[in-house]
This record gives sequence, structure tokens and C-alpha cells, in this order.
Amino acid sequence: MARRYKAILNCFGTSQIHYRNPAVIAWWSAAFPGFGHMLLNMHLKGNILFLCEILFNVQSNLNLATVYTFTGEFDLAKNVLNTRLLMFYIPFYIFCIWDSYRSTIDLNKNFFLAEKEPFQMSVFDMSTVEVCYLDKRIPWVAGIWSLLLPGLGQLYTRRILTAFALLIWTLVITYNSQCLDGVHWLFAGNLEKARNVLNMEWLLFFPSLIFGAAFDAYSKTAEYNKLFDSEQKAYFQKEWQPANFHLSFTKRKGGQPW
Amino acid sequence: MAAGKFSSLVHEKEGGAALVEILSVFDHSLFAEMILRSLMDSGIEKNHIIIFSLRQRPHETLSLDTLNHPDDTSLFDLGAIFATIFGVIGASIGFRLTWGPIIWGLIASAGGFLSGLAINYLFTNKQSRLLGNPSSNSPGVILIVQCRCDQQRTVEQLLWKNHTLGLTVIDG
Repeated sequence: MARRYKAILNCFGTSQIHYRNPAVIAWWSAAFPGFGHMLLNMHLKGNILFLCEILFNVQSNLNLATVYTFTGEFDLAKNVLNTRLLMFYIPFYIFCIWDSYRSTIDLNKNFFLAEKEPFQMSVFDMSTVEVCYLDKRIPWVAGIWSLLLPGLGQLYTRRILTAFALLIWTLVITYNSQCLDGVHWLFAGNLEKARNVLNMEWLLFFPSLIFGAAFDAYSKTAEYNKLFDSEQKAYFQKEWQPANFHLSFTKRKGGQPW
Repeated sequence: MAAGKFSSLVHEKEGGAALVEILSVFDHSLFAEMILRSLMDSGIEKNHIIIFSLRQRPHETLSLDTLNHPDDTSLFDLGAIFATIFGVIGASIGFRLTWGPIIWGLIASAGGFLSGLAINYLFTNKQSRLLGNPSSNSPGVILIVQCRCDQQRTVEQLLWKNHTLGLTVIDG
């Protein structure tokens, strides 16, 4: 096995490394601590960080304070913040951003080293729990699915672990924020009731969750398509270019085309 | 014998059948591998088939300086980022307005997404934008099959069945 390799495929999903812009990953970590790591395929780190983020945020009412701050009610914001866990949020948040930025730069360097190595991934993995294979998918379709229910686009693109995490978190966040209740009352025309039934603390997770999931699905699908191209190109070069093949319009030694 | 690159004489093999070359173009997909299997199944030998993968227009080569700023950034990067920021702010402010946080959040997200797209479109280098499909780094493959005249029909049908983009027959 080579010292470094570019991609791997098994039942839990496909992972690959390639050049990424560290600023983009750091930004996503700022919107959604832990998501930057999930974008880099570091699922263990990302999910642990995201779990901590939900706990810290909900216990200290940070989202609620954000809402009050943006609407100008600073006294309410100060009253509602629970100082039991709040101070830990600051080092935690900065760690997420810094660590994802640093990891991206490291992975870029690793890809630079691994780029010229031959592919060592299988394109087909079948076990008793799942069948997984490498194929092309349509990026915007994955994006739309994840926009509607975060995690579906990831299932379409075979990122099983991310899909699992996102689906569970979407369930928790949607239930606790009573978002669907609010939408129901909106369609029924009762704006007052819609506003009262919503729980702002949980609702403010929604934009980051939805757009983060859609962005992840879209960009990863595009990248997997490129991976498919590169892997197939390497396969053709290795297997299907016989040494003694001569084209009819090029001359062999001796001047006879066939 | 052959005078010049494109000989118009039909050469005979020992079996007595004339030979042709069929050149066809495919997208990178599973069909490109399926056609190889189908051709082998219909009797063409492996050393009469060759397949080349096309290269893309060359970018400036990545050195350690440009390592962290790849050229082909997705068009939707900035859009998604702005959509999140504006979505959070819109939802917060919408809490105090009549329509409620959901509608204002959605409106603000949509606005943010469009402005992110617009900024990305206006400020990216035209060259890198023209570099085509963000989800593919190879325009396709060229497949060349050498076969006898009587096999030509079968091979052509197989190629069309497997979604070739086009083919041409070169007489030996």
C-alpha cells in the first residue's frame, strides 16, 4: 500500500481528499461548529463538536440572545443568557474555526503529496449490510434534496455517515423548534399563532443546517463526479491501452499500417 | 506500398476479410466500461480495442504558492454562505415583524443567495469561469476498435446502444 492515497470507497461512504479553500471551510465552521470538519470527511471530530455545540448553545440560550440582540432588546438578551456554560462557548467556537482551517491546509499538503500516486480505491463494495458503487450523480438534484430535508442529498450521493448525522440532527432541531407547526399555521393564515408557537432558540439553527447540508451535497457530488472521471481514466490507461495497438493512419516501422 | 499517411488501399489479412477502424466518443460513465465488456463478448479481441481519455484545457500548474487557492471554486460557495448569514439575521428580525421569522428568514436567505451568486459571477476571472463543467475534469473518452468488415454492423449497433456521442468508420 502506498504511503498516501487519494480516495477510498466502502459501505459507509466515499471519502477523498483534494484541494479546498481553507477560508470556505473555516466559514462553515463559524456558521455551524463541527460542519467544517464534516466537510473535510472528518466525521468523528465533526459530530463530537456539533454535539457540544448543541449542548452549549441550548443550555446557555445563546440563539435566543442573538435574536434579542438583532432586534435591539439588549436588556432581554442579557437577562436570558445563562452563565452556567456560556464562557466555554468562546474557546470552543474559536477552536472549531481554527482547527478546521488548519486541517484544510494540512490536507491540501497531503493531497499535493498523494496526487501522483496510483489510485488504490475499489469502485464496488458489497457486504451484507449495503451495496456501494462509484457512479456519477447530478449535483443540483442532490442540493435540492438536502435543502428540503438535510441528509437526503447525502444519501443520494452515498455519504452514509453524514446523511445519518444530518437526518438525526434535523429531526431533533425540527421537533424542538416546532418549525413545522409554524409552517402549518402560516398556511392556515394565522400569522399570530405561527409566531407564538415557534421556539427561536432552536429555529436559529435552521439556516445553517439547511444551507450547510445543501452546500455539502452539491459540492461533494461534483467532486465525486470528478473522482469517477479520474479513476476511470487511470483504469483505462492501465488496462485498455495495449502496447501493440497501431492506428491505421500512423505508420509502423517498415511502412505498413496493419 | 502505402504512399502517404492516408492510404486508400484496402489491406487484406490472412483470413481474407477487409479491416476497418471505428472511432467513437463517449462521456466518462459506466457505459464506457460496459461497451468494453460488450465488445469483448461479441468476439473482438482485447488487443484490437484501445481507449483514450481526453485531457482538459491546462490550468496554470499548482505550486505550493497556489496550493490553498484552487482555480475551480464552485459557483455556489459564496451564495450558500450569504444565504446562511442573511437567513439567520432575517429570521431574528422577522420575529418582531408581522409576517414572522419563517417568511422573513426565507426572503432574506433567497436575497443573500442571489447576491452571493451575483458577486461570485461579477468578480471571478472570466477564464476560470469558462473552464466549463465544475463537476467534470475530463471532456470524454475516445474509443477505437479494429474489426473485420462483417463485424462492423454489430460493433456500430453496440456503440449506439451504449450511448456513444458519435462514431466514424475509417476504412483501412
